Amino acid sequence: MTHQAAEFIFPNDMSGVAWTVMIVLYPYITGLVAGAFVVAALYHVFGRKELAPVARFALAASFSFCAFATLPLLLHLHQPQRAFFIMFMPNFTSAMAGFGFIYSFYLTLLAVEILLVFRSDIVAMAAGTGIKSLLYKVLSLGVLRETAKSKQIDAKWIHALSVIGIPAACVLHGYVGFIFGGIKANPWWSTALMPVIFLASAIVSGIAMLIVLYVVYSKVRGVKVDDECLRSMMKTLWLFLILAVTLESLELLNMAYEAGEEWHILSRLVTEKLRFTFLYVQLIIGSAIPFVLLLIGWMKKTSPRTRITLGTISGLLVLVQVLAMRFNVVIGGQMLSKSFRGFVQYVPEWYGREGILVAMGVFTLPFILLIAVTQILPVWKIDAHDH
Amino acid sequence: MFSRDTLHLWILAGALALVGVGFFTVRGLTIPPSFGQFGHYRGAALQTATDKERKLTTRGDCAACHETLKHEMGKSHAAVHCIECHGEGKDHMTACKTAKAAAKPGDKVSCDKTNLMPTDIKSICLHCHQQMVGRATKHPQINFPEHMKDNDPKDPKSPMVCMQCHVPHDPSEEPSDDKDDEAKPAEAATPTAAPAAATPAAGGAE
Amino acid sequence: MSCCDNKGGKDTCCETKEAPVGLLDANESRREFIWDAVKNFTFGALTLTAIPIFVEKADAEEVHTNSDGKEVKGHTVLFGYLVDTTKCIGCGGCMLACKKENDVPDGEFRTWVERYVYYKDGSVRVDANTKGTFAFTELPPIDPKEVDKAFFVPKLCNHCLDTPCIQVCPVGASYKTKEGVVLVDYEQCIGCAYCVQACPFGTRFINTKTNTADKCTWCYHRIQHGEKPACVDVCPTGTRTFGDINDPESEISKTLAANRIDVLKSYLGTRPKTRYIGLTAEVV
Repeated sequence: MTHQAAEFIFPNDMSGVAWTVMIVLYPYITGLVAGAFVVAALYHVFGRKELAPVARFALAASFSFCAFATLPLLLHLHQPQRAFFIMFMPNFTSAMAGFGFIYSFYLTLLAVEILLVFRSDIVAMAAGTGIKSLLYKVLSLGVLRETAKSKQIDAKWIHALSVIGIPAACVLHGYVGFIFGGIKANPWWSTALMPVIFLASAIVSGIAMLIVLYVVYSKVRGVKVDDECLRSMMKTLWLFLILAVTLESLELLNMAYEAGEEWHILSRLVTEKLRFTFLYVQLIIGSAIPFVLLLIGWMKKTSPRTRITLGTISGLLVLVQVLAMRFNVVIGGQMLSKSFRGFVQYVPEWYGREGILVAMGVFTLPFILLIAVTQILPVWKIDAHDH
Repeated sequence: MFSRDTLHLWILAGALALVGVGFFTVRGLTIPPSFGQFGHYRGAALQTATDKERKLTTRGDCAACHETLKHEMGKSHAAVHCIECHGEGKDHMTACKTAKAAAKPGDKVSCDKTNLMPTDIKSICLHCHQQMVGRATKHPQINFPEHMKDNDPKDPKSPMVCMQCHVPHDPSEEPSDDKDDEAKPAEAATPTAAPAAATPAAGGAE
Repeated sequence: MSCCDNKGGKDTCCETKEAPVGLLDANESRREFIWDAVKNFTFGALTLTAIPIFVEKADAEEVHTNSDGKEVKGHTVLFGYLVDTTKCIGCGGCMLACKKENDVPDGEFRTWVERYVYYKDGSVRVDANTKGTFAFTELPPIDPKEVDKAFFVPKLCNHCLDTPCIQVCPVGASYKTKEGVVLVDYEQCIGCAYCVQACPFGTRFINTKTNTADKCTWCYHRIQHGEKPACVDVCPTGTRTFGDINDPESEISKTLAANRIDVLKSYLGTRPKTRYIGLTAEVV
């Protein structure tokens, strides 16, 4: 461009962004699903025995969040009654068309794995009479007979499902990244790194949430936090945090270094519009600080008490970081008018179907379900299975 | 494969299969019959799109009766659609249809011309001919006060001032006295015509 | 940027590497072949359940009426649109006509007109009137002495040959007719707004009246009856031309052949069928 062009946004951008806080929430929730599952898989598949105390809980958490992953999308759709068209008449040239199938597959996989992991306990609890045992009878699928042989077969299936679940989790979340990464019209989104970035941040958010929930639940239950388990989670979180932040920074660095036509507007996006949520929250508060805290936290010398404090704080900070990252991608990308000459006004809406209050309400639902699941199933019992 | 030890797995598989069957059943009932007729979309949508109501008066609508007008229009205004100055004329067209249906063959049909003639030709002209940055320099444009000073018309305050020197249908032509173009449209127009005519392009902003 | 040409009525826009004639057809059929293979693989089992999806494509030879009112037999009609920016006077008639014809809500636009003003100090400012009669005469006047050059650029859906919007529609609610018109099925659209994100030209929006995606249809309901789109019909300067670009005798084909033609954001490879005369590097 020979001339500096002043602010101008396309007229259709004047009505604000098309994807709101619900679309920020949706990848956030699916990220937690994928991240929590990875922790369970680290135990079941990769033999990280020290994670045994949270292995069952991780599965329950993954399932609870997965159960509500579609709710923000339904609230976002302008024709929610046609939501199932996406599975009935999927247009497979669209990155979005696979959503229904990938999601259904994953939710089914999680449900089946939970039923098998908890099967011995379910069968035991189904023995009695009364309403509660009726629930367990349903969960036991009406078969109350358990033998050494059947346990062995179940263990094989659990292992298989965990193995399948890892690529499935990658698909589920990498695919969300691809929805953004595949939009050539938007230079803030259009990068092949996007699915990997989403995946890395998903794992980060899932582990961070498990750390926080594990500490909180241990306090509530009056149980000692297993130091080895916590340390292992913090170490893993630290590793994936480095990976996630490296990828996120790399993407930006590459754009800045190449300084193509779009950098003129993108640099303004980062330094003006996303100054707080990107530079401060995502990079400094949510990445740099937890990086140091986790590093200190997972070192052997650190006392278990300090480790719990550091783990909780950094876990919370990382959770904020990933939420900010989702915001910066989803909303930040839309702030860019396709005229590349100005910014779309983003006014957060509080009330209304797609408002922040509803979003907050939606985000409490997985936690309520998780509490319910922990009441029904012995999620804190250490798994006896040995794979 | 199938044994008492795997019974619960088979039940699970059966339940999932049931969900699958349910899915395909509902799917089969939901998909519109014309879906996939021409491609991955609802074929019937094409008909719906074709049948949508045409609202705006087209050039063809005007030309259906006023074919000769085309030749009257000077070269520079030949491309201007009638509705730009005369409004959409929906009432006129309806009235004409009725009048024609009632008339005997050979009768001269006179159609209702209410609201057809602009009462504020100045704002209509200036809509396109006011001097403005962006307009091609070859497009005739005026600075109205200066234009008045330079040309000194008889009645510069009149909303029909432009017609004192220009013929709207053919601005290159000087107005002749015997035709008295200036007076006629003002007579034909009723006072209520003002707002409709004052909104130039496309006739009647809503 | 300029890579569009119109030779012998065949559309050759942005296809420098491959043979110019009949290329569109070749491309389409190759894509369809691959796509059919995918479909057969994915849904092979489903066809057994007699669900009326993916039936054979009806490809009957039809008689079309082109925009010049002539009946066209034998060749495929491919509609195109040409904007001659050197003729536009910013009267806003097209926007008003479109709004009325298509019942477009306030603040939403199937078409709009931008003004690019190049100041003597080297800056370029872009503006648009999105209210009232949409005429630029309603905007505060600009002193001509400060300006090097200025011109208007009408915008609308580009009805691309390779549409990012249809590509991303998850339910087949966006589609392209055989005449090359890109449409939205308002009864099928789920309102996910993915197409709004995918359109590089800002021409799609969520219509607050229908709660679906919406955009310019080139007035499909008019062109199918031999009329011109409303914006073309009312344009007093001939800025906007519409017609069959596969018919070498059509007005648009002749103008395309005789001029240097540009498209918007050609680097994105969407191959727009809305073409322009008189763009500059600043126009996006």
